[in-house]
Amino acid sequence: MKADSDVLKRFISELEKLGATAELLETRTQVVKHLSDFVREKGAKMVLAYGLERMLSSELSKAITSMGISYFDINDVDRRDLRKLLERADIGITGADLAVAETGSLIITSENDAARLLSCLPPIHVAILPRENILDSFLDLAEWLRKMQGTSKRTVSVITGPSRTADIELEIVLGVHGPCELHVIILGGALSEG
Amino acid sequence: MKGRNLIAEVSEALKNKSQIENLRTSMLCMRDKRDAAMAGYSEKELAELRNIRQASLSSLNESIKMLKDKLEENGCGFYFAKTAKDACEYVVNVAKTRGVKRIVKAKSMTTEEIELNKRLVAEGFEVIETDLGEWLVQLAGQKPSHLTAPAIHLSRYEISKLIEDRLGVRLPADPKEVTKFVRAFLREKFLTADMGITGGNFVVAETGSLVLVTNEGNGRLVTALPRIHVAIVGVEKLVRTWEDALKILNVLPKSATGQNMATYVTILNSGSETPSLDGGFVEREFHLVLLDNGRLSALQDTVMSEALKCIRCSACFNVCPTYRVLGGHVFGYIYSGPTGIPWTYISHGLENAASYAPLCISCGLCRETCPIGIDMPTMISEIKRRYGERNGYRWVDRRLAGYESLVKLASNTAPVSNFLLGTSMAKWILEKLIGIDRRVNLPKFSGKTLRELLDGVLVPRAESDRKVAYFADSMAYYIDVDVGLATVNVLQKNGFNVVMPPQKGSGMPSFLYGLLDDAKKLAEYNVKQMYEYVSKGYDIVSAEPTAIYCLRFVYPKLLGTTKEVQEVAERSYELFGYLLRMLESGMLDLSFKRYNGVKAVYHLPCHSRHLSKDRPVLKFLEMLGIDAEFIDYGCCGMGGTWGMKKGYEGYEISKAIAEPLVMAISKSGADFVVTECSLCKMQIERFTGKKVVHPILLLDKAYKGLPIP
Ligand code: SF4
Ligand code: SF4
Repeated sequence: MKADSDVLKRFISELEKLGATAELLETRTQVVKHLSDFVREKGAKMVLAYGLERMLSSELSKAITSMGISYFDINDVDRRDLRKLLERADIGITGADLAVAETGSLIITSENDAARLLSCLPPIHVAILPRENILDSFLDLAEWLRKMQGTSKRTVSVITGPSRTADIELEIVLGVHGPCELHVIILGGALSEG
Repeated sequence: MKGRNLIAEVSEALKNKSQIENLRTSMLCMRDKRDAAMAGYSEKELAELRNIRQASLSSLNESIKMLKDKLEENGCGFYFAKTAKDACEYVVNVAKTRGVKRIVKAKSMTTEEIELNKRLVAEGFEVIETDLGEWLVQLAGQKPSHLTAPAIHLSRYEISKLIEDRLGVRLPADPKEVTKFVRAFLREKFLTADMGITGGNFVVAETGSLVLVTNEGNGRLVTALPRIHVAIVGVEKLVRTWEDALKILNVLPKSATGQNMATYVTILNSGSETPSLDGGFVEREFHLVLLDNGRLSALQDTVMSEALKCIRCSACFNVCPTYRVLGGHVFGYIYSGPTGIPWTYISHGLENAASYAPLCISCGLCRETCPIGIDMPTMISEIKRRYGERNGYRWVDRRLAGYESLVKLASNTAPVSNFLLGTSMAKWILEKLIGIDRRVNLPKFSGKTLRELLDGVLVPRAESDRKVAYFADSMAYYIDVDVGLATVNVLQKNGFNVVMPPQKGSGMPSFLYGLLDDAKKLAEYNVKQMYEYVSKGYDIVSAEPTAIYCLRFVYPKLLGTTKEVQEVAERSYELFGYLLRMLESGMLDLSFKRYNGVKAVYHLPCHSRHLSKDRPVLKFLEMLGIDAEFIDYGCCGMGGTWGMKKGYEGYEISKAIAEPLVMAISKSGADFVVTECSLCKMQIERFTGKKVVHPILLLDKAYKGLPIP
């Protein structure tokens, strides 16, 4: 099932209203190019990733480390170093399971909290989402949540824009305890292409 | 009223001009954002939300069992806490036996309710609030003053001063800088905490899932970093299915802050592995404490059970006129705001609820704005009643509730009474004897009652099948008789057979002061009389929105929904809503004069808001060619007779509430003010000095081709 272009448009426009960005990319090469440019522009020193497709992660690793910037995939690091890496990462890159167009929300599940913390602790969060996983409305999640929470202990995080507060005189400030920036890469094509 | 001097608190709060200004601007802004976000909800969808809340409460026992089984199956701690003390005990015990030192918390009113922090600190734990607003309030040694914006009473200047005083750090008075500082300051606490404590917005029984909503992301860190997580959730937060949960979750942020969705929703059904400080993973313990603390017995209370439907969105705070000037420390106990009054009753008892219930003026705006349609005014009046029955009612409240006999007397003796009531001696006596503020200019009584004036006017027209029973209410009956005459005239002009059944005042003042037995008697009488005519095919019409509000919403609450009560309610119409229906069905006589170029300001009475979303008066003003500016600050602050009470019991608060409206009207350059409520009229006249007219007077003049003021 491929999400139609209205749903995609709506999702992107909702994300942008929230102060997040969205990028629609077709191939793995594009993603690698886009992300390595992004990482450099942001002046990041260390990038941590989780939940990416194997090939993508290894190509990203090559591209990013070649610029002298550290790149780790949580799957590949020594568990003893995990906590320190999480605390220090400048950018966290995660996969996303689903999205909701109506609200501009990402739905990310995690089997452990290292994965979850990757979208909490670093100041910048990049999520990679397959285009066909965008649902139309928030209420469409019910069945999926029942299954997910009924049969597994995975924590579900619904993320709608960057961290924000309006606690002081209602002035909106982004980046309180969570990421100050949220960038979403929407994968249009199959990753195996080019 | 247990250890509280409300009048002193009010007078103190009213001195804090900058707080009043901040609150007012913030609340208006929140109200408008919220209204915009909620605009997409239909009546049907809102009714569905109400049904979901009702059904969730009806199935609590099954849900509790289901949740317990699920959580235990997932290896979590589950504890049902009967009292606040039990809940605190459990948390302390978990913390002690696991060698906890530092505890981080995500904002939770339920933990405020049970005063958990106090207990934990007394036991020697370090407890740190992590929601920015809540952290500020903790730093100031205060209580949150708003459900979703706990530090909304503090200005940016007070905040940077607070941080400097307590932490010795100088920051510019800039929310961005403060936020940046707090991010770094609290990050270290998160990373080194042993235990995280949260509340929960819902718990979904079918999968045993805790649902936690935050914007800042602190809820995520509190539940992902420490090795223990305890969630304390009121038992009323249990919903059965994900379908139900998502519908409520969908409305919550819209109604709370006007956000389409909250930034972070964390959903978990167990502990999970977290990367530990010393390397590797540790398995986090998850405990869920389900709190009763009065909720289950409230469920058996036919009036108060309504409060358990609350989803804590805080929309009612933003519209509450008295809350908006006094803030949540005065308009609150631990729970604050409109929903806080019944919630205080449920969890902290009658005395504490009654300690600030007198600040409610029964405007009904809270109920009108509540996405679940929760009837706060009825619960609050019932709290006043229960307190009054036990401890006696206040003298001034009794007098004001029984105003009709006084009004009758004054009316019989006008113009002598008008003269006497205008003297400063009489005003002094009224203040001392009754408690009416001496600055109040009492209305001028008509020498003849409306019924006397209508003698010979209400002649039946056999040929017409348009039939109206006119319900005048006291003001039009004794004082603003011209409104009554104009109403009858306009209806007759449109071919109506108008009758005026025997009637008493609507009883709103008795309802307002909690004298519900008196209110009930009036309601019974009026329903009986009105039903006579309803059963003969008459519609009931009143030019006083409060009267129709009573017939439609208050009487069914007081008397129960018998056939008579229900039919009377269904057939009762506010005059302009009624005329608008006629207009729309092409039945209105349009041969009236237009007043192009005339400028007016329109004020919408609170009770009118409940009766129609169409703003019928505005439509008529437009038809009359009048250039009407709609100034919408919400309630004018009169609250029936409440704004006449002396000093800080009524008058001063009422004046503070009216301030922005008064200023806007004074600035507007309008020729006069239009409003359809006789008490809003008194309020606006006394504070602006402008002429205020009921729209029916304009329409009546227009039919007669006469000029308007
Ligand atoms: S009825 Fe009006 S005054 Fe009373 S709590 Fe509700 S909003 Fe406030
Ligand atoms: S009473 Fe209604 S409006 Fe007020 S907080 Fe509860 S749900 Fe929201």
